[in-house]
Amino acid sequence: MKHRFKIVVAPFIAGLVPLATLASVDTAVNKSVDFNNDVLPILSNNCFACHGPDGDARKADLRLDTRDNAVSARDSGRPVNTDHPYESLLLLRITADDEDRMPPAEAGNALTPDEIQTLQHWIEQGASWPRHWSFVRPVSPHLPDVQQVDWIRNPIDRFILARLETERLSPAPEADSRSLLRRVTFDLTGLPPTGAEMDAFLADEETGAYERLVDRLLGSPHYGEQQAIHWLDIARYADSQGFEKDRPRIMWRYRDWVIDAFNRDIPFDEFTREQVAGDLLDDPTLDRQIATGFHRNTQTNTEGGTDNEEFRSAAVIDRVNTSMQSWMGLTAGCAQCHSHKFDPLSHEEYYGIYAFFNQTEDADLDDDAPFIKAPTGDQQEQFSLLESAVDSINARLSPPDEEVLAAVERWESQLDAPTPWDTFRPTHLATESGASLDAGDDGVIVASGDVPLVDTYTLELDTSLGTITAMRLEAIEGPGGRGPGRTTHGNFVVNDLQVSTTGEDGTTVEFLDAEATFEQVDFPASAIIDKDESGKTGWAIHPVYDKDQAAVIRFSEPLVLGEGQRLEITIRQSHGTQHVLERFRLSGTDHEHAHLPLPPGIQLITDTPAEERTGAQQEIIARHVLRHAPELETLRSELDAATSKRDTFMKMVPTALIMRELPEEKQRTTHLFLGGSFMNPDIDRGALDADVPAFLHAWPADAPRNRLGFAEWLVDPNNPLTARAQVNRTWSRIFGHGLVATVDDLGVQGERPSHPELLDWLAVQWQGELGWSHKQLLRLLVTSATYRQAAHTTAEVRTVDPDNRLLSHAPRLRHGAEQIRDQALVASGLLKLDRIGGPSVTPYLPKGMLPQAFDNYIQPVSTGDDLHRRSLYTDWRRTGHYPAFATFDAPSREFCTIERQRSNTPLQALVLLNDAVFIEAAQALARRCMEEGGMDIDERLRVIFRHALSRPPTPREETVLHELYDDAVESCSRDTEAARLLATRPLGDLPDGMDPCDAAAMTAISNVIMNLDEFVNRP
Amino acid sequence: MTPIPEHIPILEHTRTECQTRRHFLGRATCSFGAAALSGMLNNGVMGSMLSNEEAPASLPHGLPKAKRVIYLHMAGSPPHHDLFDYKPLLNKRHGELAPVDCYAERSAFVKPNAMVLGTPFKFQQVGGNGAWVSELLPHFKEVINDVCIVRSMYTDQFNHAPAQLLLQTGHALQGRPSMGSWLSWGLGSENRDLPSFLVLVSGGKKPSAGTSAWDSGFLPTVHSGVQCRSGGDPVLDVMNPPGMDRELRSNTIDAINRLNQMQADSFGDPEILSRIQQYELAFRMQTAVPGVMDISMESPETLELYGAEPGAASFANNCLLARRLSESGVRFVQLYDWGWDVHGTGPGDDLMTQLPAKCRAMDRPVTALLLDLKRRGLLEETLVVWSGEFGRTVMNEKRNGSTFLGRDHHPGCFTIWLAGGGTRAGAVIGSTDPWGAHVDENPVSVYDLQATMLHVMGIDHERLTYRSQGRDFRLTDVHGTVRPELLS
Repeated sequence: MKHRFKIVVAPFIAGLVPLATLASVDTAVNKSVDFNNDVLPILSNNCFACHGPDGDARKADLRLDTRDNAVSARDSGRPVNTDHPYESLLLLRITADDEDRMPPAEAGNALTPDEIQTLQHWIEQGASWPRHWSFVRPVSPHLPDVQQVDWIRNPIDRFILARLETERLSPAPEADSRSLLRRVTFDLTGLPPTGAEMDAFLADEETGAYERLVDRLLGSPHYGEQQAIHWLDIARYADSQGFEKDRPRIMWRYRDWVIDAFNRDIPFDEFTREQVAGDLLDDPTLDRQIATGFHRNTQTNTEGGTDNEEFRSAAVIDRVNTSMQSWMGLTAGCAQCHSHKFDPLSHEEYYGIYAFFNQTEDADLDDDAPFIKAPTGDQQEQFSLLESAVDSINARLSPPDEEVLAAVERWESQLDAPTPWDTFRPTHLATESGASLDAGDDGVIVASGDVPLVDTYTLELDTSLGTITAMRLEAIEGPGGRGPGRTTHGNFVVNDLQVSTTGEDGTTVEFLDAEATFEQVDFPASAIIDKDESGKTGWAIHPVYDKDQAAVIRFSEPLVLGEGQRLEITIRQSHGTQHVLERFRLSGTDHEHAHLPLPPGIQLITDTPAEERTGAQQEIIARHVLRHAPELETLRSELDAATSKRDTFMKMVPTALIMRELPEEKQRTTHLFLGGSFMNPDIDRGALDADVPAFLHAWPADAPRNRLGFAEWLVDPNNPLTARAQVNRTWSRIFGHGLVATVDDLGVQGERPSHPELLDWLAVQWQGELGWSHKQLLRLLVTSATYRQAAHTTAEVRTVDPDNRLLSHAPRLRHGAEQIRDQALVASGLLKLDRIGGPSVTPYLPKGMLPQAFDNYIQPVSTGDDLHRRSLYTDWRRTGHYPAFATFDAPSREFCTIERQRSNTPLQALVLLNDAVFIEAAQALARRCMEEGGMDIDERLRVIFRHALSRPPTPREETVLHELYDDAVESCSRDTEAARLLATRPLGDLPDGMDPCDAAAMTAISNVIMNLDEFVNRP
Repeated sequence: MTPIPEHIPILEHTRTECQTRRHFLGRATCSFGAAALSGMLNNGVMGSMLSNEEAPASLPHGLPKAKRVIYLHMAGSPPHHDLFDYKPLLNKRHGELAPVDCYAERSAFVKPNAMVLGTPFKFQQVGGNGAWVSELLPHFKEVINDVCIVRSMYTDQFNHAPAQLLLQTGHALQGRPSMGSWLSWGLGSENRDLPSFLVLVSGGKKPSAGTSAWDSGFLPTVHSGVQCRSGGDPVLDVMNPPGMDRELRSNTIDAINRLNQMQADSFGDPEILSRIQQYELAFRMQTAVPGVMDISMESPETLELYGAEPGAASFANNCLLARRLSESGVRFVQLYDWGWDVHGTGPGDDLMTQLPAKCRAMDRPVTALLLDLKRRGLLEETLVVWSGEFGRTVMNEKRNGSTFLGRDHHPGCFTIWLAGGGTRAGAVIGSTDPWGAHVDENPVSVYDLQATMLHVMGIDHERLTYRSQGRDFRLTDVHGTVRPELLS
């Protein structure tokens, strides 16, 4: 049998249908075939799954993704034969009508005659094989010539018009001033123009009025809020950790950094460095550390029993995918498991990128560490005031002033000699649980065996003392920094202690008091002797496990031991959950004033003559005495109050999750994961170095081989993709479609650009002349004649260009979820705009929301001004997404979202019709129009239209609304209680003198206006 | 056999009401012309519940055996050893050290050297194929000959959220469309007035995977599962605000549509016509949803059968609602019942008390659902699936020395059952090893289940694909085989 291309179908490619692209529609018979536009999509869609870059999936050892391979001779001939085109195996196989046909029936449909013809022409024309367009660095094209020169406002228009003229379409006339004002105000600030802004703009008849408007909007603090929304989708910013428990996470300082970065118009290259590697910059300021929150927005899994390494590596994978996607518009994710099937990114290269992100400290810990305190500017000021108050009191201790020195002297003069302790020698040890107790020569008793939940130790001990006045229980630190207890952390609780003497005349000791070197909050040493019957009170030492601790228990009367009498001590530990002692020692004394030893550091100082003490020693002893000397009571309470004020304030200061590089000696080695699973590192292949894929531009000279170098690589002037991807995305938001419609994929599978030269021109301009400035880019876009067109269209135009890719008129774009709510709040006058940033808030929630499994947390609805803040400040809970936003296509932000859908559903209608947020806004707008418009319905309608739609109503609209008003008043007057509810819930009581029925009818009208298509669409 | 039309009067009422209103949809389509309308319908982002305009034209790929799915997901995962997979060996070796083989590759909490936990419950063989059923499920024995028990399911996830996502979306991380969304996108709805994918939650909490378990992922948002609620509005925002009656609502929607029509005439944007249609549908939903969600019009006998109580928030009510919704043509009804995670760390998840309590609340309504569907002639066209997201361990977990009994998560094997929709009634498929730790015969993967479910619905799981980020995605990713042994 002759060698054939043996095919086993990868189910992955099943059902592929080539995307129709504008660029490929006009592939005419005699036209020269463009490889990237015409041929590559056909090969990529139909062949690459089995004959592409992925070596593991490759069939028949045939590659069709590089020219060298495609033209190489095989046993049966050349797949692509430019000398004898008709002998090309490729053509023979795609036109075969038997089982030889490619792609095989199981894998997909046969190629269309057009596609076959394209491939044939391409081979006839020499099978040229330039690189995929987006992998080649853009160069600035010549501006095209056009006929309708007077339409041009800036170079963008030349590209758009040239194409329109080719297609025999003409641009729409300029939009009216009100629509234009509304459009650009929404696009730049996410808000509608206020009535006053509209009046001012309409009154400005000087040349350049529109450009001045644009500059004013670019300078508004609300500009940053609007631009941030898109970047927060990309950055997958949320206020919760994600996964099962989805606990709240304090992350809003990152959100505010993004707003501020847009308002300051940080150039995109700097914007990139700070977010990807702000911690590695020469001057890692607080702001730059906050910026690294970009990649800390990955999810943390706190579900019980999860493997932190699994989810740490999931976070690293997310960082790789998000970086490639966000900056370069490439879908790298496929290469997590195998070499990419379409783009030339190998499995190994993927983990080269992974290595850059594999060196940070975060490790899927429950507390999201590492994080830092991230005070806002105001908080920093307040904090330094509180701090200096503490400092001025501390100044009295360092060096100690006279009063303090006097107190130290007096305190030292009264010190007792240290208590001598005699270690008890165990003679018999028993436990209630059956665990073993063993004593060493040093008298230390160690428990081992099964760890019980609770236990009681009964010890028989010998002593050389004849009289005992007090005893000491030492809890001794375990190996490896564990505490003295048997829990995993090493805590214990001693609930009760009994001391008696053996023998027939044995007595039981009464205790006087107890103290300890350290006492856990609510677990003091005194609880050991409190005779509490419940067994709940006791002595414990959380969280200080890394040193020995001791409790001293003084007896009421000295215990006198008879000849041969021993001690019997019972230690009851009834707290539960394994809080029992593992290492401890018992001793006694006959000293009269038994007391705990001075801490070793203090002892050392008291042993040093006062005049020989160093400054530091003087301060240490002063601080110790401050805690004990009655004459320093005032100073002590002043210091405590000031410290507590400062610390309480610090607790309110928000934290921010940050990226922090591991020190060199702790850096991880990176292995390729077979099948993408962290459980299957490919050890045989060896550790992989951090590196970038070979098919892209070279590593920048001098850049460090770490995240910072990677950031430099992302914004390197030679990077062919970053500028194009960003420009394309911005274009898409303003014009409804990207110049490359697949804004999330500029790779081989992505769509071809509709205006390739325009895309390149913009990319080059932006990186060069415009200095990566987002404001300058937007300014260029919104001051073009293309942008300023009216949105009106005709059936004829829609037939030629149904999706308006050629931009013969302005698109009408449905607002995002946030703009719809913000607009309702602006129209009604409820929106609180004055503050930028701050903790997240929660607007009204619909009834019946359920908490997440294993977590009883539901956001409380905010009160006061927080109820009406801009929507981007809404608490973003990943598994409990704010319902109205979810309905309007806002992503839950578990992963990076490049572009939102713009759907149109009945559930959206229900939100706008009935949700408390929108009903309240309608009530407020109703009151506003009644206050501003008086009793005249027409005047009121003008007020409503002005605030909600930036225009006056037409007579036909007035007619419809008059009818509704009459209907509403009629039905309201039948049931005045209902009318009152409609006008007041949830907004609250009507102002004096407002008729409920009238207000209810106006509420219904306002509700109608806020449901109009015009209201939810950018004009 | 004709279904018992208990709910029909409400829907009729809706229609009549719609017809008496000024009706703008008709005018809109006429004035705009058929070409515009068809352009509008072909627009991929337009979400309409009326049908699935944007879905692949080739559907169905095969002859559908079922029209609808009811998926009963016991969130937390019931222990197979104590309900369906009887293993006398465990009782014989109760309290002994469990062999290493009983462990899965990874577990959540259970420590090495844990003890075997024999089932404390009695088992009985019932039905034509001698299926073992626990005493905890007395009612279920009545329908044993209607279900196909699969004892050889397995998964590769051992935590709740990833395992639930894998089962419902074919991927252990969030972001992929759930099964209901795929079916909604592929097949649309049979009911013009209701969403095609509805979710009901009981047990007081959402499942671990949260709303991601019914998210539409990259599919159009309209195909996301819509959660129906027993408290508050049955669907969020479906009820008019306080003080607005249906007549006033009708008048306001009229006004909205008339004003929108003026805009459509001016701009020529077909999306505006689509919006008019969405408002009509929203208005109809406002009656249809509360109507279908109101179980008080069910007969006392039916309420008794399920143990349902109007107004209560219970799994029993949700089972009855599942029948009503499914009967009304909802393509995919998904139930989540929280509280099956019996680790034995305390009284709240104790095998001895919590499991019997959960079974009592589940056994009767689930049995009732099958009986009710059957007597209405709906079972054969409705695929019912009952499952957790993984199995549980052979061993007693004994976390922190707990004295309660319980089992940890275990991905190696678990038992599910299917009924109706052309599945093999009365069959017992697959088996596990004598410990009930791993699959012995006929392993059925999560992807196999998904492929088989799609097959039953007339869909080839390899051909229902959607392109996102340069790749064609499908529910079963690159896995899955239709399992004929589950089908009749």
